[in-house]
Amino acid sequence: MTDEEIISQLKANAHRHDKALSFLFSSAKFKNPIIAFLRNKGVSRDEADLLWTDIVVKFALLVKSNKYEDKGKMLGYIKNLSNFMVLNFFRDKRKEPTALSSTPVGDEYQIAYTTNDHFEIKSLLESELSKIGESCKELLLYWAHGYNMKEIMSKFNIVSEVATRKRKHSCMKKLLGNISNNEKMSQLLKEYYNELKQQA
Amino acid sequence: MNPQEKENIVEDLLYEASARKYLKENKSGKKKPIVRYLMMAAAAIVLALFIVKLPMGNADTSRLAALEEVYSFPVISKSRSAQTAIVDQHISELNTGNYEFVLDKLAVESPLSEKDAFVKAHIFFEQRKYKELRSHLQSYVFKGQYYKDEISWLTFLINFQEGQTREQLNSSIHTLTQQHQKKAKRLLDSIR
Repeated sequence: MTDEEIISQLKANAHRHDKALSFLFSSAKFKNPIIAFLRNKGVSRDEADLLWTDIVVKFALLVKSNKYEDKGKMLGYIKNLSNFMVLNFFRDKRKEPTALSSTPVGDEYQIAYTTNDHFEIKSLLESELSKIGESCKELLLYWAHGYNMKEIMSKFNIVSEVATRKRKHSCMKKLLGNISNNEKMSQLLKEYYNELKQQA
Repeated sequence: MNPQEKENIVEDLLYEASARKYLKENKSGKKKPIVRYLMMAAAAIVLALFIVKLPMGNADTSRLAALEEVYSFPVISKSRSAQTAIVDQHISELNTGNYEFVLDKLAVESPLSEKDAFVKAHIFFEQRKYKELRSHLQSYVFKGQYYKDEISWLTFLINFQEGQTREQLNSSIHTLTQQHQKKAKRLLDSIR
């Protein structure tokens, strides 16, 4: 799969997206240099594997939301992303200073704010998701992954697309309500939003 | 941040969570139940085939070893009869085991002499082309007694190598010459 194909499939429907995601995740062309880079920074083998997963996911999100523009330097971009991710990782572990100790420019700006607070938001969201019930959580994850209402309807044995839409809406409402009640998470989301808005 | 903007950000975060979940499940080799069952079924079939094939493979090997003890490609010398044979011109190739070359020369449209047909049969046998050999033997009528005896022996050998039972082979042993019968008995003794 070429870099262009990875990009176009990451933007496509859930099935093609997953194919590209798996390829990117397991491709030695990308994985090996990044893992070596992370290990070189002093990250343990297990932590490097977890970070690699987060890097791939973050990259896929940037592509999916049209925040990545392919200029034929995909590996370089992922390396840059990895750099910010590992700095944030250390910051969270209080080993190193924050990733934003220097002023990011160009692509770095996007990456810096997208990766900032990644680990904290991730764990807070996991905690909030666990409070809305397994079925609701699964349904929202499928929806966010790009599955359409028809596919979700058949996966969850819901009677109609309209009912699926309603169910999704009520699950989302429940989650957003919980997030609003979580002061720390609300604060982080607000900061995250303001940073993105500033950049725009 | 209005509710819609908040929802958009949460959607991105949900996407990340779902993608991580997907990669984690794939990385740990988790498969959908149907895929897992299919893989298990395929593995069971392979195992069953292996178990069934194993003794057969041993039988084939032991039969082949026994066959090699009693069979050798006949020594072909130049004909003294008036009937010309193609193989007469390729004695050296036959002696050096260049059977493929001779087989090519025997692929002619005109009818083969008995000697040529006999050599062709042995080449097929040597190359374990039993299907071609049977077809060749069915299409050619040998008249000379020597050739008839040799072809009976060759047919016995094919039957042996193709896995006929001891009883089946025993029932056809009487068609062989005494010399061949001795060899045939040695072959039968090799069958467990």
